[in-house]
Amino acid sequence: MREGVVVQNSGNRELRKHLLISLLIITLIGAAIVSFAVAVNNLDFPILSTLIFFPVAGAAFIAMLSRDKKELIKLSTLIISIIEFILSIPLYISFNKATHEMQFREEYLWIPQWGIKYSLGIDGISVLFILLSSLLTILCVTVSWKEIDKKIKEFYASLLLTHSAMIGVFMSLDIFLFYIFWEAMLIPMYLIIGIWGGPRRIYSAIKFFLYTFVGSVLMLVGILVLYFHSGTSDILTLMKISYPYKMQIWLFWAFFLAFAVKVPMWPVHTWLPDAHTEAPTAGSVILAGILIKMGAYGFLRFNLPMFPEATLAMKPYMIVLSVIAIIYGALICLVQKDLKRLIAYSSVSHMGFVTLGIFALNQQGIQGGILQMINHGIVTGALFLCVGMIYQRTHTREIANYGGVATVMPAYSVFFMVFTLASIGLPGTNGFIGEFLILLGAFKAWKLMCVLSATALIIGAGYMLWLYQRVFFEKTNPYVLEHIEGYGDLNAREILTLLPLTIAVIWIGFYPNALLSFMDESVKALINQVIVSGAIK
Amino acid sequence: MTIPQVPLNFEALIPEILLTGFASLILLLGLLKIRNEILVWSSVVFLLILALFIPSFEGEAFGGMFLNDFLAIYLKLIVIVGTIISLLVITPYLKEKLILLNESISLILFSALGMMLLVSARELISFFVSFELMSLSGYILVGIRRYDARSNEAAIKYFMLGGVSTAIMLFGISFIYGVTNTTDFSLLVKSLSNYHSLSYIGLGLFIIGLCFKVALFPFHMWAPDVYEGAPTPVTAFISTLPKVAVLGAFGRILIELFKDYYIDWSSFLIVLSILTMAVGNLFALLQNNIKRMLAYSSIAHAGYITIGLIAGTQTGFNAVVVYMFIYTLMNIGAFAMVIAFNEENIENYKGLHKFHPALALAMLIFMFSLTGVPPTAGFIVKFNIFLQAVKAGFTGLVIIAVILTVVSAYYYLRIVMYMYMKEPVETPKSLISLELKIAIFLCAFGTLILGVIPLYLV
Repeated sequence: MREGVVVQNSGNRELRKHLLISLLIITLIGAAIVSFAVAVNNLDFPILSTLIFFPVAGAAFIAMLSRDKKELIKLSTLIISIIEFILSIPLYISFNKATHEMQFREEYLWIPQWGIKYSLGIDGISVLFILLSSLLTILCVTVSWKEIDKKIKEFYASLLLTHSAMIGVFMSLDIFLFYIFWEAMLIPMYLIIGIWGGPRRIYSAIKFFLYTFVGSVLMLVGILVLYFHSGTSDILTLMKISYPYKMQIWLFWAFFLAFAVKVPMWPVHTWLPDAHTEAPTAGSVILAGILIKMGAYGFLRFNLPMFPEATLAMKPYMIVLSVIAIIYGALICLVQKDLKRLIAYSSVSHMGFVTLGIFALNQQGIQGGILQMINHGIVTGALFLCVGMIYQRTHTREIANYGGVATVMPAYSVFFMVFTLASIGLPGTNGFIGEFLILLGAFKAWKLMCVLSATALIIGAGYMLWLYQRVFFEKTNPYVLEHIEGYGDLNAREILTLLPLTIAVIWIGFYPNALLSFMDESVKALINQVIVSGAIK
Repeated sequence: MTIPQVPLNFEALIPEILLTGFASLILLLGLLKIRNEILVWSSVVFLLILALFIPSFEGEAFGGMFLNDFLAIYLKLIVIVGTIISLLVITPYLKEKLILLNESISLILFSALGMMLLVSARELISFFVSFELMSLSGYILVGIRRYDARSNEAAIKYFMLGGVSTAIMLFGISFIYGVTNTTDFSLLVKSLSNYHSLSYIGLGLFIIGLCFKVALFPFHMWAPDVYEGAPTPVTAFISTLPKVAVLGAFGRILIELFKDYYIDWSSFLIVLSILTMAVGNLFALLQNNIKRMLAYSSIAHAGYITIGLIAGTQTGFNAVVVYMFIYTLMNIGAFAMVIAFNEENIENYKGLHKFHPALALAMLIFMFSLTGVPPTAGFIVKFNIFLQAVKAGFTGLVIIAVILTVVSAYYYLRIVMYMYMKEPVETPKSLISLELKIAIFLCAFGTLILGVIPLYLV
């Protein structure tokens, strides 16, 4: 009798596995056909809207599924996110690298009374974030497979909605639409941190929401002022208008505050360690991977081109703030006892590099900044994935509780090593290229600050290698061993989750031009805009 | 003395006449022990028909005493839609015999009638009479649970303070009449422009009457007590629709009649609106009773709405009107949720998501909409108000308003947090009927869809 049940169960499992694989293959083939069709006759197909609204429709579909069919919910989210990623491949294939103009434009009148348009488009600065977001969403689904066990329907729906809103931010060419996406992203993210997070999740979720909300409502006032001064909400038109100097300063600060909270720059960074630490793994990956990049993207899209004179005037302050963030974040990392918190603070330091590069205001600096954003998304996202995987086994994030993990989880330690080295910026990994370009740019702009921030690289190597040593080597902790034994080393799902990011780390490390070539023209045009229109008056 | 012959063309008044007849009919039918559901649904159907035909009754009646223009019709449509939802919301209380009197249905209709007349009144006396019709029905509604001490206390408070405020307003009207010797709006415009000092007093007293009804600081004291004590469906009704009508009517009077006094009343209202937003939002933080919290939140919203009036432009006033529409939807929705969960203590909202996922989702939408987070309609209308204020040059006021919006996020999110992020303490004794579900669905759907596609809102 019991044997019969077991046989039947395993038969079911086999069947399910076959079903899963065949479904995946069918979707892959189908989506590949669609994406190639799009790539061939591109531009006519509203690919950007599809990318935004496909996950929304997916979330609605998931919300309608029955609560008990957990496997089905997970599987459909996975398929939806994979299709989404394949749909975003045409952006990579048929992106025209020779121009800085917006591509894949879509424009419809949305609120005619206010002249507000539903206007989308991407250029070399934004295209990579959309690809990265699509990739990370798939990995978020796979890593949450076992981790999330309550309210899974809501979780996966929130995940897809967050992705939609985030890529919407990168695509919007209307300032009003931009704000809608910017704020709408807060709702699912608030839920992700607050419902599925760690012990202090509620405090962290509210802190995250309020910090971001304060910044963005002041940006809203800035948007209103901008709108009335120029009479349009079209971002491209707004860039061409020159504003009075005093107004530029005010608007610069209004926008700066919103973006600085998101980046997060020192001293408004305090929400980040809490949110990163308490969020579930998928939440941390999204936060570190894409969400905080929205702030730096905002600098590039709004502050620099729209208020060039104010940017030039504020440049020294911005650089000093960045350097403080770099060194302060790195020093704080040295004293962290919690794995996730350490990586969170390292984000503060790395994002300091990004803003340093951006406000160095030269080709190397800005290109390095953008590349570093992508790198940071990959590497820190991967580190959070790794921490999530081991947390699943041991249910502790205290560094002191670990030790000797390398002996029981060899494959895991290899992956972690790759990402640790990338985070430090070892040549041959992607981290090196980004940081090198930023330092090059910073050296041109302000030598002293460049030297100061370079010291953080040493501290960075210090805290990351020390972390690695404490967790993976040294004396083995029986507590950890006991917990890991039940699970063993990484399983296929986890290896498949980490593999794409590992490939990306090495690929970008050896051939950075694959990404840099996308942004060449756009960055050139941006710098032209800042330097020329900022210096004339 | 010859009495001028006024043409009586009362065609524009037909909807109101029909509503009077229908409300009286409901009152009579109530005596025959007809089931309450039938009364409610027939009223809903009647109001729906009225809403369909009301745009075709544009025009004036009684020589300009009654004007049914585009704005008045828009306001009336808001009142009718709000009344329909309020009627649906009150049914669970009727079914569970929490409200014994089916007169409540006709009282709601009479109050709605007062509002419809109020927004069309172009003459001070008819203005005052419709104002009283609206208010008196409201006082009775608050005390409709005759054996409930809280309800009675609330009714007395509401009546006393409302009576005082009406008296003050009437005093103001008498000053205005004394200065101008007329009660007709079209004549008032001309006679008021001589800046007689008495007309300032009249205007001041008049605005105080407005502040009482809309619950602006420092005349907001009654609101939390009355909202808490009144039966929840009645709270949903009196916290929204009277404000729609009063702000609609007063706004027109301020902007059209007293436009020469713009500097005076706008600077007065700026102070009031800042204090109202501050008091409403800060006190809402401290509340543990959800009805009191929503009362303070509606005080805060009255502050935001006043910003639209302060702008002093026609577009500013339009922004006020659409804000009122969305405010009605989301506030009635939130109160409907309080009825559904049948629970006033915020602590007991813990873990409600587990028992009612769909309702919790609707509450989430209302809370984010009340905060003003896109993509809900609450954002669009708030944006609209701020847009008009910045246009009129009140950027500083807008900055204060957005900062206080952040404060409001905390107490709205607290509800979401309790529902979704805490473990339940006890199983809720929910009070759900089909009508209530329909009402909640209408509100939530409207709040969400109009946020994405803001048709007819701007």
